[in-house]
Amino acid sequence: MAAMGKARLIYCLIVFSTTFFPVFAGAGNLKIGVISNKPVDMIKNCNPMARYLECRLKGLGITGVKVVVAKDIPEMVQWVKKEVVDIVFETAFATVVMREEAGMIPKLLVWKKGVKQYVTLFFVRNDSPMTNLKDLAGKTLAFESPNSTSAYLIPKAELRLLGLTVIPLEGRARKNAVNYVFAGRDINQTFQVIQKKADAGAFNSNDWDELPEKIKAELKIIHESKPIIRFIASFHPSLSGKLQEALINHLVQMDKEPDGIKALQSASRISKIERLTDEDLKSLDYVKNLMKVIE
Amino acid sequence: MRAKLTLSKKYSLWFSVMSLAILILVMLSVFAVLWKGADTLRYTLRDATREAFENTQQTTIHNLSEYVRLQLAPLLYQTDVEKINKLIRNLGKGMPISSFRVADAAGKVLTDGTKENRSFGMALPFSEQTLKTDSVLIEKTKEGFRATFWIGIEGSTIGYGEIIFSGEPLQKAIVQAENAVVSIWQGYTKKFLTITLIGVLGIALLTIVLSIVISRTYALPLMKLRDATTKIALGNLQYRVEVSSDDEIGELAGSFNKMVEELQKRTEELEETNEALQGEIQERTLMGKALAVEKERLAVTLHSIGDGVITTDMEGRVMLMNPVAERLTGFLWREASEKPIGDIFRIYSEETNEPTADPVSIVLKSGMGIDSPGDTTIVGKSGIRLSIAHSCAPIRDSEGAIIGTVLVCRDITERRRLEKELLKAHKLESVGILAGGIAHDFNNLLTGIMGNISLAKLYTTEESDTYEWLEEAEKATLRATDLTRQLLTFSKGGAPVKKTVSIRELIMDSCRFVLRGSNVKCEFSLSPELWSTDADQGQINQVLQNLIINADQAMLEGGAITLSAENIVVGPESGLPLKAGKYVKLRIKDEGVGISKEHLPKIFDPYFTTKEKGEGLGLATTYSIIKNHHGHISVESAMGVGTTFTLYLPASEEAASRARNTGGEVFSGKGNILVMDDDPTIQALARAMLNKLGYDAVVASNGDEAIALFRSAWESDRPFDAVLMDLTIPGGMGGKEAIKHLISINRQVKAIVSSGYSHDPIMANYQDYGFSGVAAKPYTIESLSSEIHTVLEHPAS
Repeated sequence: MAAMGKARLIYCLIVFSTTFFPVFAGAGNLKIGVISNKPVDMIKNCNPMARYLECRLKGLGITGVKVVVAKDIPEMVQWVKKEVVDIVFETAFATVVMREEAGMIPKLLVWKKGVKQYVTLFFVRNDSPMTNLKDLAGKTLAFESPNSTSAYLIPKAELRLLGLTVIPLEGRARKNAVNYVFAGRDINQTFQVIQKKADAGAFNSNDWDELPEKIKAELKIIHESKPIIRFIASFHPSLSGKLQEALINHLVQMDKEPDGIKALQSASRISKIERLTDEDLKSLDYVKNLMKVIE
Repeated sequence: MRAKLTLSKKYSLWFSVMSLAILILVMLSVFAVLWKGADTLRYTLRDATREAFENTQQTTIHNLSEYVRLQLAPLLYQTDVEKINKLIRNLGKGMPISSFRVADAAGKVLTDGTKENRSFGMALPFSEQTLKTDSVLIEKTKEGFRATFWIGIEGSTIGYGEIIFSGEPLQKAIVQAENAVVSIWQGYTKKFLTITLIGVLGIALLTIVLSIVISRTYALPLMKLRDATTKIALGNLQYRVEVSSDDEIGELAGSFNKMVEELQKRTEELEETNEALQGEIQERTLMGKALAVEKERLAVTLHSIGDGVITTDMEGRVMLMNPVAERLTGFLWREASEKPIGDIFRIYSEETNEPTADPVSIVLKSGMGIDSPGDTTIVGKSGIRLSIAHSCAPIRDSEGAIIGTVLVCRDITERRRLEKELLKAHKLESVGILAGGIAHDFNNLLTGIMGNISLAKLYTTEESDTYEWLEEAEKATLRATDLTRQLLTFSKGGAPVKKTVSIRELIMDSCRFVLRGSNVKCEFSLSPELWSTDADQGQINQVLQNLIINADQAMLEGGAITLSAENIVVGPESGLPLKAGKYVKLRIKDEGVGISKEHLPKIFDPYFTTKEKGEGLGLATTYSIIKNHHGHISVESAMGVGTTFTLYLPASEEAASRARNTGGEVFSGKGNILVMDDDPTIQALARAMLNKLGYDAVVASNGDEAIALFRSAWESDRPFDAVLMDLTIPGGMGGKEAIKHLISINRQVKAIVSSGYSHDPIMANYQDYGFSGVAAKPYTIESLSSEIHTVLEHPAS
């Protein structure tokens, strides 16, 4: 019991510090923002990157680099507005929200686990007569969870863009709508489809690639979304151009130095960081469209 | 030596061994009974342990499976494979589970808990019992235990589960229990063995002590008698055995003492006789040794003599031969012993090759010794003929009577051969002197012919027939010149008259010249940047021609001679008998019959030849020429494959372009030239040539005349610019002597030595004698003009 109490106290202190410390942070400190419901782990994982940047930005008047963790997108949007964070690493959806609502500027494309982008795949049983999304009307679709971007938000938006009604399954499936359930995890989605408890499932291409071949053989893909960038680094508009350029240069260089590679791997297994291209920015516009549909 | 056992010890040993054997047999029987009992106990305990463990394991498995079955039901119902996998993984952490599979209601595997999920879709084998009841079925398998169970809710089947439990932990526990039993059993066995061993040792010790005491009581008198026998045998005849009882052993001791007394008396008599005999033997031994020493000395002397020695008896039969005589006759002494001397010592006259009289018979008849100085050939047993000198004398006894003969002979074959060689060398030297003289005179004649031809050519045009005829005449003369030069080299092997020459042209010209009309072709592999060499063109030509002719003759059915040449730098560690420096390496390779291994080491020896008409001087001259050029020649050959000669010639320090003019260019000039030659033809020719070249020429017939003319000119206002002097003037002062006088008049004199003796050392090393140039006879107008031009262009040394 005593150990439990101690752990709770540490957690409270960390949450307290990550929530309020940025507000009172002195000049010369650079803040890296991330969103997570596990702030302790996240700070621990991102600290090597902070130390990496700290060493290299001293010449530009940066005295320290801190990691701050918001619990969700709205909180992060608030921090941006209050200038609590200078650079945020987030998903395409969160990035679009921060750009539209708080003026964050997407600058860098972040490769995670060796992947730059993903697509959302809709799949059905191999013996199913369904061939496209419109066939899903009146059927049951297994999503992963309400927090999932690739296995809930995007597929839901794709269906709505086609004019389909997407509603949760309540009792029997309604004929004129796509009736969805949450399976909890991507693997459960596949088994629900195989076991005929759902007619279709949807999740991202990376999860599909990791499925065992025997299970893949039981399924077939009927639709795939446009590619969506996996992770993006955005800068606060108040950051000076000189500091922005220095940050870009150091972050882009990280995967070429041994301590940089270690820091990237620690921070959610980032493979490398690149400058955003015009094509990448177009991809963000596509996400923006999807978000409009969801709203 | 093996220790002898006493009677007492034998008794003790026998008693001890028998007692110990009985004891060991008893102990072994007891041990076997106990061992069997303990072993049975051990296996019984093991089986009981195994059964107890298995029962416990099965109960645990049953309970666990039941628990899992209940946990899986809602998860399977919700198709929450993620949580099913988590459950499987968590169970695997605490239990010895090999595999865990969960199947759907149709019995097809949904998941095996692994990421790869290899069992997915497989049909899970179930027994009827599992399908129909909700109990857990446990089966024993090779791996351990297999638990299968039905999963459902309210009697409705939603799936099946299978868990394979590893039998390894059970097996380990059984082994541990068994080890514990064995360990206890071993402890008891060890204690039992220790007690048994101590008991056996104690009884054995007691048995030995008892046996010793008993045996000594009965064996001691006999042992005393044995000791007495030993002492008497060692010579103590005074010793007597104590008689302490009147039984059989006491009687034996009395008889023994009587026998010893008799033995003592006999021994004393024998010792006296023996002493007398010892004296006699010692005397005879001394005489025998003296005789053996004498014999040995005689044998060593005979063996050491460098001449063959044979002795005979009065009938002329061989009595003795030393090793030299054995070698000369080819017979071993033991073969020749007692055979007539005529059969062994077979001699012939060297002049007539007729058998000569046996010297032993002559000596035996005449009683006088005879001596043959060396006109005899002995024919050995194997037919080998050797030249020998021999003498024979009678052997007389102390009273002067002849009792045999001694024949002494000596091998003089090598001496004979050297005498013949010397004779041959003397003959060849005479021929050489003659050839050299002829060549010199011939050269003078050729100088006249060639000089006139070259002069005549200057007065004709190259397009005219006359010019062509003169060219042919000149070529013939040149060949005649080469012949005389070869003749000189052959006869005396003189020092080379070196000039900087291109070896490439020599090789090609020689090969084409020799192989003209032959069915053998020449193949060249010559380095393009081949260095020049300082060589006597004529001598090197001779070398090349000799080698090419030999190669040609070795290939009767035609073929190719490969001539290759390259530049090499020989270092101090090259292993070649050459000074370190630059060399041109030539290889002349044929595809001929080859030279036998037997002949190969001799081919450079003078007079060695395998040709029917050869003199054996070609390769000897070749060798001599290459040596005189400070070069080296070697040969490799294999029968049926061919022969390769390799030559090394020192490279010239000067570039080939420095080579003197031999290409037909005529150098004109101006000046006053003194010509000294005894031959009027040469005088006239030289004058004509020099005039034609633009010089003024004054001639002298000998050294005295030349010195006078030179001095006079030197003192006048028109001294000679150069002097052309013949090396030898018959009956007068030649160039060698005259140049000394000219130098005393003018140290800067520019003199050219000229001679038909091109082998003369002065011609080769003219600068050492004060000359500035050399003009070998016969010379052409081109070569003469070139030499004068060179001498006048360069300051005198």
